[in-house]
Amino acid sequence: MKFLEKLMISFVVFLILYTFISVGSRMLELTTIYLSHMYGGIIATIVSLVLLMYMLLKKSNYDR
Amino acid sequence: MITTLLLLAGIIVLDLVILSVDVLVLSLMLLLIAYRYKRNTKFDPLVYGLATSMTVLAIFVDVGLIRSGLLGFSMLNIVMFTGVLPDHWDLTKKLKTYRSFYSILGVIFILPHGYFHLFVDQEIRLFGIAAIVLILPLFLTSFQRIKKEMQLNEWVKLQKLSYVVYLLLFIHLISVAQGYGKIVYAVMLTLYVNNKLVKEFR
Repeated sequence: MKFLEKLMISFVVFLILYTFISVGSRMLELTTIYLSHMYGGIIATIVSLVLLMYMLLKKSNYDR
Repeated sequence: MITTLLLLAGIIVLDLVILSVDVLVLSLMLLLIAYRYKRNTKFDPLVYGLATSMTVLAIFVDVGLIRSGLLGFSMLNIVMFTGVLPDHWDLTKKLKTYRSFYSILGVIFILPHGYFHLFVDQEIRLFGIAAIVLILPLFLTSFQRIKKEMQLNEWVKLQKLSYVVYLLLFIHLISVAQGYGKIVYAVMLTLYVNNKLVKEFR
């Protein structure tokens, strides 16, 4: 997988998670507007960062 | 050297100049340290541990130097400007040995600044938030152990993300600074962009 693809995948994951969590928590009225963005942002950042690091550090069959 | 460093520290501690000029003074101090003292990588884990402890401490105790982001940004400032200095300079060669060290410490020290503004003061500064989010992968990959596991070309490409971070940082600084601070940061940005373009396209 090319570097740009890895970057794009983690960015898309970030956007999807951020949107789902922040919109979802507001629709279900679980949090305030501020906190919905906060939770969405933090969770999306952590997940997409872990995913990006995994994709960057994973050794592909080609490399082996 | 020690006298010069103490004099510069005095300027910051006595609050003689505005915050944006404090950044320049602190950057100069860090630059002098990098120029004068040879880096010993043996103590890196210890320094990172101490920095993390100070960062945690800054959450409970008001350490202005860390909470204002002054220390973190000054370190990132050195990392930034190392990239625009001519490669053949002795200063550049010495700064390059400190580059990853300062970038890791810079991010560690800038995190409490983000924490306080976002969670305690509940201020939303979009450019600042975006800069911190984007700097996290760069921070993680600055560690030698992680860098070794990556392919070199991917590491280099990822580090180019730092240009976006620098731009976001400067936009954030210019938007939050007051009075002459805006001019100081704008001049710094202009100098950076100008010298980087000159270096790349010469």
